Amino acid sequence: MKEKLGGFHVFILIHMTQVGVGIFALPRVAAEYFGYNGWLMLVVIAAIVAFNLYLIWLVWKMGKGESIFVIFENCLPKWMVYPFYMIIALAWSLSGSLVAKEYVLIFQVTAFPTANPMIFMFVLSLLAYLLIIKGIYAIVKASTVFIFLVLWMAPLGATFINDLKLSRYTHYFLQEGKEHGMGLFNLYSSFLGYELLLLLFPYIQAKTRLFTSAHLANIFSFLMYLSVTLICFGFYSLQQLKLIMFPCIDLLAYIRFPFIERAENGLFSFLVFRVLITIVMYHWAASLTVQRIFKNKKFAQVTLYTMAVTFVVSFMPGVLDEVGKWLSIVTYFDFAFAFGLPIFLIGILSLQRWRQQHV
Amino acid sequence: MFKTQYRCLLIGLLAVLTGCGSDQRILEKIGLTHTTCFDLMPEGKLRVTNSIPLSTGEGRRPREVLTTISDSSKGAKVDLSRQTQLTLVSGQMRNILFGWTLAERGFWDDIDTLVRDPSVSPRVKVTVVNGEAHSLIIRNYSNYLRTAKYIDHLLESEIKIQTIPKVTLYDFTRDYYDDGIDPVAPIINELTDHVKVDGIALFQDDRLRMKVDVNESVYFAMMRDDFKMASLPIVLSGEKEKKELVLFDSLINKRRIRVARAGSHSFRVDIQLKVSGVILEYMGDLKISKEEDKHKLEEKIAAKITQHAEAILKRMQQKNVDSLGLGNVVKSSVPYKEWKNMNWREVYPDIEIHCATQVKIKHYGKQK
Repeated sequence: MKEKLGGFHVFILIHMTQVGVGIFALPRVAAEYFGYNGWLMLVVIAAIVAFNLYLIWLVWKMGKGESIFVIFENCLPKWMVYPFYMIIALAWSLSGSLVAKEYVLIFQVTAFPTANPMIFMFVLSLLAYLLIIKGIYAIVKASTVFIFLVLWMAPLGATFINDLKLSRYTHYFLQEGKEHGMGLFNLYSSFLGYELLLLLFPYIQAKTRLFTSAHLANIFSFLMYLSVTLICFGFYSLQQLKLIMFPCIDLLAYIRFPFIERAENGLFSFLVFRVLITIVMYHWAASLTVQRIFKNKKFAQVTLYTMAVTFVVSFMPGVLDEVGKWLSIVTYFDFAFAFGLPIFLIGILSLQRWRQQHV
Repeated sequence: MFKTQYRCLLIGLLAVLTGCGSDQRILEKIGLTHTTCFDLMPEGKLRVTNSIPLSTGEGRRPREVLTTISDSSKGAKVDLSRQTQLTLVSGQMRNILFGWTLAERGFWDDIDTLVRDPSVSPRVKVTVVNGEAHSLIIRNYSNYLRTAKYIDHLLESEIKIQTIPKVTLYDFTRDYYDDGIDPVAPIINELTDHVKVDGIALFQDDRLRMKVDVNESVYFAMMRDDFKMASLPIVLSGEKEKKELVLFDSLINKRRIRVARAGSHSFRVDIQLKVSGVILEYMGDLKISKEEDKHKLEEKIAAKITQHAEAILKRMQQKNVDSLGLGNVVKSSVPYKEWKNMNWREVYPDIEIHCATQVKIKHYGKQK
């Protein structure tokens, strides 16, 4: 019997894919775009994601767990579907590579500043590749181990309790922000990753409570973001927070253990596990999509080629700001797919159902 | 399949191990700057002094002190590293000392470069020297092997007993950027054979405007925040025949601030201090084991604390420094628009501030 994913697996996979490089800058983004008590906007974003998850669940229910590729190919001709697949795959694969590059460049802010980032990126991609070709079940098992390797860091937030000041959570709401639309989009991009649930359908047990698991994962990611952002808003003054590039790393730098003074580089390295799963899942999704076009090729081969292409592309943005810009462009596509795909699929499925009823 | 994977890994490892040679750090070859001092020179330049502890194994001195005169702090770092065989790094820096004249002129530019530098910890302490930071750090104090470390430990222990506030790069930056509070920093100065805590420096933005004397610093600390521990000697009356003094120990201080409007553009701020503690020493006419006398003493101490506190408050208003963060208290009581339209710097000197103190003597030691 083939292995199938249960609810717990879906929970871990979605949470680990959602929380990636976004968390480092998230509190600054909330402060910069929404000003006082900007953390409140996280609630709005989590609600939008919850709605999107509902749409995805509808697809699952209506398609009775059928793979979305099958649904597409059943109703649309190949010449329409294949170019579409290529665009999605490119966007997803680029997301994976750019997230990897961004992590490496952020890492280089604190360590190894003069080394060539592509060397680190190569190793990270290699690690991701080795995991991807083992298939989704191996990825899930690895994520289960990885989540415990990063979750122990959550209680570190307690070390800030004495430095939090209630008066910094003023009674002003969302004042001194700017460009709210842009801010919403930036915050939303940290929640992305859940849309890959669409590709997991064929691997999920029929009786899994998909809806509950996906929502719990989203809530868990939301709570994680919320706790970090709340700590930052109570710990830093607003103008200060607006100017800190990566408040999360700054928080880590403030933590002092009795036996070690500067632990941030060590702590930061643990976060590679979070980022790794994000990278793995995006590349996995891209390779899966590409394989629908080249059905006679092996999955490992397809993965190698797609990853190689986006690896080469990611040579182009060289510095952190550029990577950020590229990543936000790719995020537009991800955002469009996250909403567009389920809506489109629901449309197709309703049409099919309507046709069946009227034949 | 496995073989190719291992081959890939090997290539990857080789790439990493050879690629980062330029970022290699070997402990024996690096100089971990412990303390950096900044002084303003007459022609507007910056004198930067670094104190670097050395391992004494090879008959070397316990530390190396490097000095240079430069336009900026980062430029100085390049020049300093030319003077030593070690590669200078600032990852283990503990303290930054600013000379008095530089502090009066303002040192935000120098702090800004340090805050920007990811290798500098946000926990580095910021301290002002009453005089020249350079002359304080280059001296060797006979009881201590390493001056910089001695100063660091001195500050740590004083912070623990609350005579000076804990001010790190993070604290200073946070208050500098906050529009309702001004930063503070401890002051130290050199004596013949020691370094001594000399009080608290109060800043307006990044410029030193006022000094709270070391004897007054506990009163300042009381108004700034809640705290525990510290012993406070109070002279209740200083006349020669009737000298009355008390040592108030194991203090627990609770501070409350209330704001009310006084007219359309002004405010009235009430600072309420609740201090409880233990009397371990009393010289005077009262019999503290008597209930009545104990209350009398409590009132006397309270009056004295209020008197000191109000004197500090008055000077702070004259110098226009809001080191207690009264701006933040006012801010939390008015709507956003009003706060934005208000120029707190202009409003602050004219607001009414009152201090009220309640003292409670918990016990008076082992004897009646």
